[in-house]
Amino acid sequence: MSREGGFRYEFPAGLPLSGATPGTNILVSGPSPAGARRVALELLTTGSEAEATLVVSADESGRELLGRLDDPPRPLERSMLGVVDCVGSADDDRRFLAHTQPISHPGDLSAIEVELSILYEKLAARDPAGVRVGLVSLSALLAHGAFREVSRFFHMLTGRVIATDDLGVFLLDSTVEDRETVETMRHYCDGHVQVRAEEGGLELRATGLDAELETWSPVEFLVASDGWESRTSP
Amino acid sequence: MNEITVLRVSPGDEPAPAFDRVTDLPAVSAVDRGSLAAGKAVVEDHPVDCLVTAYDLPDGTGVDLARHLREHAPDAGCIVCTDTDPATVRAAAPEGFVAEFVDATAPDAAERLAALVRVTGEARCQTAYPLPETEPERCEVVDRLELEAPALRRAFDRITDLAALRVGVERATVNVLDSRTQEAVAARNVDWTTIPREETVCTYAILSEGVTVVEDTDADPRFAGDEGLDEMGIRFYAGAPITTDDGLAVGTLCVYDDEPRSLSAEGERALELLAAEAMAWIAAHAMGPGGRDATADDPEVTGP
Repeated sequence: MSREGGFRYEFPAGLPLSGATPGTNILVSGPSPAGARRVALELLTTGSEAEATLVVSADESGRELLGRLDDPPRPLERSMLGVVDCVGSADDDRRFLAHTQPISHPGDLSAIEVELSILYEKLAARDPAGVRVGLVSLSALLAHGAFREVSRFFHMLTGRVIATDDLGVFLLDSTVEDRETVETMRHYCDGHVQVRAEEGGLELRATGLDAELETWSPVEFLVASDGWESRTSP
Repeated sequence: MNEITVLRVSPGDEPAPAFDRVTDLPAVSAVDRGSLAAGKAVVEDHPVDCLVTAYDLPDGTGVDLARHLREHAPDAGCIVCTDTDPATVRAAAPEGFVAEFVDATAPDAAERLAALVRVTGEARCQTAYPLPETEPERCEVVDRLELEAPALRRAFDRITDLAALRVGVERATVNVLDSRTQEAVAARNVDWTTIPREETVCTYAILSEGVTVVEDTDADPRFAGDEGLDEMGIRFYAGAPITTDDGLAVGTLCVYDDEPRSLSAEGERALELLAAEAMAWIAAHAMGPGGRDATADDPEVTGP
């Protein structure tokens, strides 16, 4: 799916990152509870209303993920949002575009791929300006599957992002992964955003993206563990 | 751009309509078959870079064929493109089996499939290991290497002996890694020769400029529980990339032990120096007799 000439995936002003060209894959790592998850979701869900977002939710149910995105409310166009639920919950609440068949656990890579591709085509039929594809989290897949096959799956997923000119954002919890795992997964991506929590708030540094930030730079989120700061008008 | 071979399998005499645009891609050679058995025969006789298969075949399923391909060519790409109910495909595919899926009934199925074939073939994005950024260039250089000369082999044998003695182990190899396999071109006290890259540690070693040390393979998530490494008795690994002047890693110099251990800074330095010596021999051999550069068209292979 070729994007319009000059199209870029833009990031919110609160993140010290410039946008990304279509076909870019970004690994976001850090202590997930402390902010990496928040940064990853921000990268995924703050595109224009003309863009679509597809998230593979592997460490919480689709309902929980949507709840996270709902509180506080985010300006997401629900008809352009899809979630692949990998934690086995059967959910009849069709609050979002399309609910895929339940996947029993994050180790079922073949099922994840089938449901992801089906949901992708449903979103693509809406003719989005771009599609942001997320995996929250890669650590959940690694916890449930063999390293070699999860590595192959992730490689394939990043290749799909390249083939379809999408943006890929993938969360890796660095508190549970060792250096070799982080390094291996980083190789599959164009950029690596590392997140940490300091007393003054969240900080991040990035390599491989347009705005290389090799020193830690603050982001605008509050550190409070509950809730997000809404940076848009309700 | 190297040509990629795409095996297209769908029932009947003609490829499925969704498969049509694959042959519009540059540098694609398509082989068409209509059954599981015919597809398997191609897999066993020809190198296949990417499989595009329907699910329902007269004598089996596309998932059966994809699994067969993965056994023979672990690095090949597999794409199931079908109008079969996705639930049926899900039920047939083992949980950990990895392949692309395209719904043949989707409006953009043909375009989507062609895009996936292009990237799967060019970027080889269904390998279970990362590839160096310069993998295409690296493989071109490897394909031009001529390593059969007795003098070269004798030099490699000396290098493996020196490496083993310096580190204090019994086993060492000089390896060349092409696009899919690792071949031991010199082997001290080992009996393996050619191994699929995804079963090796060296495929990770060529990602780094320095020496890769795995003190305990069982403690490294990339290799823990690997039956192949267990069978080869590899518990400790240290490997230095053998690198051209342009930074292309054509292979590795490695030492092994069957027990966990560490490697000193001096040992790492020794492996680096011996790997450089191996590259010097390769480069000098590539120059040919009388100073003629046998690889004159390839600036990457230069003299020491």
